[in-house]
Amino acid sequence: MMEPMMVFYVWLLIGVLLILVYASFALSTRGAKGEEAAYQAIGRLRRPFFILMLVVLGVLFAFTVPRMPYPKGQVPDEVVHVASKQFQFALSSESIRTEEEFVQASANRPQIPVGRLVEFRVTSLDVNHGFGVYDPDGKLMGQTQAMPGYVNRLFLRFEKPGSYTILCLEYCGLSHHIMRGGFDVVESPTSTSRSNALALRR
Amino acid sequence: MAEMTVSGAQEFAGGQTQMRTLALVWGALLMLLLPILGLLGLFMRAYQSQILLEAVPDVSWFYASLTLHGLGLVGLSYTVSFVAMLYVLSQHVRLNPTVIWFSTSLTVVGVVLLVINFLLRFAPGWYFLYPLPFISAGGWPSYTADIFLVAVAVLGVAWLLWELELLRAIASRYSLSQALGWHYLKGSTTPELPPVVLVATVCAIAGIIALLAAVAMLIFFLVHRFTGSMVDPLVVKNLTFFFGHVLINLAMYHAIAFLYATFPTYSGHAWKTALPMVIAWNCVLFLVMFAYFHHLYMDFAQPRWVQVVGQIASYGTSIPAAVVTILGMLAQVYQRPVRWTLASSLLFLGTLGWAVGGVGAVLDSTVAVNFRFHNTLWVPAHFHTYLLVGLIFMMLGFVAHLTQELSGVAERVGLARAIVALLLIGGYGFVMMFYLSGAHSVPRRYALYPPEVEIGTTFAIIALLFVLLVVLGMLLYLIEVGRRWFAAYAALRAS
Repeated sequence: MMEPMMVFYVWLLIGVLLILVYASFALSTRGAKGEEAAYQAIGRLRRPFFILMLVVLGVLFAFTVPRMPYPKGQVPDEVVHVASKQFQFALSSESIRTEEEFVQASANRPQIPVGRLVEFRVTSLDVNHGFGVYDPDGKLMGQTQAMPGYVNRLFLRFEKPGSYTILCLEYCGLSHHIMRGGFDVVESPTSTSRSNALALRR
Repeated sequence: MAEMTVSGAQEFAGGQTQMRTLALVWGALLMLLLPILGLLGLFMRAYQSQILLEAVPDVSWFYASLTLHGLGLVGLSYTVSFVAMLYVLSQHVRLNPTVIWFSTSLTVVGVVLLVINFLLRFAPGWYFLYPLPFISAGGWPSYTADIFLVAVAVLGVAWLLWELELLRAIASRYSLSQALGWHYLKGSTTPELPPVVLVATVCAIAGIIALLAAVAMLIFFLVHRFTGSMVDPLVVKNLTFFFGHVLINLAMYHAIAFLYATFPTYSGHAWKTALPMVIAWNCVLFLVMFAYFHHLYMDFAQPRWVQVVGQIASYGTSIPAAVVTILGMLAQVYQRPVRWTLASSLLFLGTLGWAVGGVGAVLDSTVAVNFRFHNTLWVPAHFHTYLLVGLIFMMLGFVAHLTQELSGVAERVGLARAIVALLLIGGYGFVMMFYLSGAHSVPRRYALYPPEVEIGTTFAIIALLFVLLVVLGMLLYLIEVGRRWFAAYAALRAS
């Protein structure tokens, strides 16, 4: 995946370049006589600019498409079922279909062993939500939508032990900003938490 | 027009006067509604800064503001830019003013319904993602969803009518292949096609398709409303984003049509249709239909090939914009004695905002990037760049141009420069805080930020300072252009 700050710097660099180009073109109007040759000169840039854009976007496409986050037939080490409901997440090793199962699962804070490939099977019991996983430093690791009637499969590997937070990333109502969940990534899970929560080995 | 009869010429001139009046009315609506809707944005940033917690303890006002701010500004951008395009198009084809006035009236009805809903604190967000309007967890009265559906239906009818009228007017003078410039592909330039006609045709076709998608979306909503059973949310989501994405893209394209027709009056160089422009706009018509898939990248249930098509189409739409319009804009000013006024400056800088925001949008339309940026503040970052410092700049340029042209009132140069400087610094500073927040994983649409992303509060406070510059710039704009508007109105009445 691409690091957010790196993307920001790419945008900033191109943005500043664009501003400088616009400023220089605006300055070129001072005392200008408006000769047709100048207009033609910019017109001649069209073809190389077109080719440049094709190349840049083509390279970006070729570099990023293999990095799409969609399931590619991986076999997960752990499977976590996630149900979302206004305004809470519930995580369990078993699928969550009823209100009772949701209440029971949402009372748990699961533990996930470090270094494992985890598959989150994410759905919603009411409206659209967004399942966003934040690492202990508050950085968004990845996300998928939680939609009623659908299960979205998100694969993540957790290399760093600590407390992970789930925030809702799709507007879902007036308490959207307090909708949250979480789990801990640990070196060795306690037996209680494994039986209560994840531990569904594939 | 050489063969036009005397009565025909009078009718044409009468139609143009009607279009001027219509443009003035919409100019006034922009000057009235933009500050109100903008102040809702200011309120939201102030709320996120936590300085309004005691004054406004009820968070529902934040989300109701979010909804009206988004819906209102998307609608306002689409409608005002549409009228700007009609204003210049009316020099080439005869539009029926009655239809446009009727659509305008219906639009006002729709807006009134949305405002009523705001007061009832209806808050499903601007794209009202199904089934949220019906399932609010007690957030808003259930009948507000009914009011909302009526408002959407009224606006849909209004806009479908004027899109059809636009297409009829173009078809009465050009065949479809001529209006899309296909004869240029065969090497012929006869009849010569004004760029505004080409762009307007593309917009009308795409607009009608988008509005038909909205009808389908509305039918799904009504099925839920009257049967109480859930319809497929992924299908409705596709329809919603197809409609919304095309609509907001059309708003920018309308503004570009106005730019093509108007900027040459400041640069002194005609902006003519040529082969690259024809190819570009025909590609846009095709690609804009598929780019909306990028809104559903995080719906992993969508087929993988659809996501790949979304990335290709999103990248693809940036190429005609950059190679034809942005480069064309630069050619218009390069070493030319451009008459820099408030209008021409805002039009020129509006294309810069489009370009800078477009870069942010292209990056975010990369699936691997979107995985970290989707529904973070990066999204409002890029769309506020090409809307606030892009499209809105161009619409403010349109009204400045219109009122100047109709009134002949001399511009106060110092004031015009101050307006541009304030809007520019304030606007870019404001969006920069969104970009930084997005890069720090701060979610969008949060009234308050949780501890994990509390840096969002700091960015919101800094953003507020820049918003104040925008507010000041807007105030000065209203003083300068408001003065011209009254003079233009008086001149039009006298004529």
